[in-house]
Amino acid sequence: MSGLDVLEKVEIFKGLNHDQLNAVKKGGREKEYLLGDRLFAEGEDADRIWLVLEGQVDLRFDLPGRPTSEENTIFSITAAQTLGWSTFVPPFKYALSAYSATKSCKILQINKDHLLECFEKDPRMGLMFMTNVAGIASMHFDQLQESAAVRPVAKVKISVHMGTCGIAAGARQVMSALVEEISRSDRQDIEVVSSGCIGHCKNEPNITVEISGGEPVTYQKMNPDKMRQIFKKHILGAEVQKDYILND
Amino acid sequence: MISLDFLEKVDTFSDLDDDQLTAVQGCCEVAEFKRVEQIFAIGETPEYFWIVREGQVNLSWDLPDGLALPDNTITTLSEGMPFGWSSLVPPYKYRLSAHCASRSCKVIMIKNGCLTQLFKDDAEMGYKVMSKIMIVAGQRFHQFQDEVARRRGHDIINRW
Repeated sequence: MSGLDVLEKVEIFKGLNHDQLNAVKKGGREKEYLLGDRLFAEGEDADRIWLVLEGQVDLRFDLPGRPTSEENTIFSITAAQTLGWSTFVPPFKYALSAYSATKSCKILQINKDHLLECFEKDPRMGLMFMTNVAGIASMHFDQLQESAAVRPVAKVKISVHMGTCGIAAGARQVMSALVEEISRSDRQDIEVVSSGCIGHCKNEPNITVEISGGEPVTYQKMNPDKMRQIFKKHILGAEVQKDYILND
Repeated sequence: MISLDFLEKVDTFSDLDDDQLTAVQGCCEVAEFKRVEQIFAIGETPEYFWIVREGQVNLSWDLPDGLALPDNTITTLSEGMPFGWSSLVPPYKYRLSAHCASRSCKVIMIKNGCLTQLFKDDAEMGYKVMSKIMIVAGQRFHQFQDEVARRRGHDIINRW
C-alpha cells in the first residue's frame, strides 16, 4: 500500500482533499522496523505522527529494569491507524512505548512542524485535522471509560497472613509496604488478600505469592524492606527470593 | 453581555483578533446555577460549549442518578476555564458530567452550532480555536486516566 492510499483511509486525515493529502505526504518519511524494535519510548518528546502502513505496532507500559513484554500491551495499532496524538497535547511526551509486533512493520512518520506549516498555509485543513484528532481523543475517552468500569483480572495474587501472631510480628507494616510498591508500579493485575495464620507462628510475618496460577511461594520472617525486595525481584522480575522462603 | 476583555483572557480564544472575538461574543449567553445543581450529564447530546464566568464547576464521572459525589470528581474548574469540548467533536456526547461546586456559578454558554458556523465562515479562526480545544480534550483524557489509575490503587487497598 502506498502512503497516499493509506492517508485517504486514516481517521485523522478524514475529509482532506487530494492536494491536502499530497501536502501532508511531502513531509512524511517511510521507515521499516523489525519485530521487537522500539519506535519510541514512554517519556520521550512527542514530535511526530506515526502512521502504520504495514504490520502491527504494540503500545506498552515498560517496567523499570525489566525487558519489554507482550503482556504489558495496552493497544495494538494496525495498517491505516496512527499513533502519537500526544504530539498536540501538553506536555508533548509519549505516554507509552511503541514496539514493532510483526516480523516487519512499515511506518510513515510525519513531523509536527511540517503539519503545522501546512495548517498555517491552509487553515481549513488545520481545522479539519484538529477536529479529527479531538474526535480520536473522544473515542479513547469512551474506550477508557468502558475499561475502567470493568475490574481488571488479577494475574498475581499476594496473600499476607494476618493472624494475631502475624500482626504482632509486623504484618501490617509489611502490608503497607506492599501497597506502596503496588501503587508506585501502576500494575493493575495484582490482587492483595489478607488471610489467617498458616501455622508457622515463629516464622511470622508470612506472605504467599502466586503468579498466573503457578506454584505458590511462601516467604517467612517478612519486614517492609524484604517485602519491597520481593516485590521488585519476584513479582516484577520473576526471580524467586530463595533466601526468604519458608522452611517447613 | 460578556466583554471582549473577558473573552480574550479565555485560553481557547486567546489567539483571536477583536473582530473574531466580537463574532464569538455574539454566540454567548449566560446562565446561573446553584451549588450541586447539574449543568449537564455524561452521555447527553451537547448543545453548548461552556466557560466558567464566576464560581467553580466540578467535572465528574458520575452515576446516572445525577448526584455530584465528591469521590467522582475528575477536576474542578474556576473562572475563565472552558468545558464541554465534546460539543464540538464527533460523536457529540458529553464525556463527563458538570455540576456547580460553589455557592453559585455563573457560566457562559456558547451554542455549538453558532460556533461551528463561525468556523465555516472563517477557517483561520476555526483552526486557532480547535487547536486549543484539542489541548483541552487531551488534558481531560489525561486527568481521567490519572483518576482511573488512582481508583485502581484504592481498590487494591480496600480489598484487604
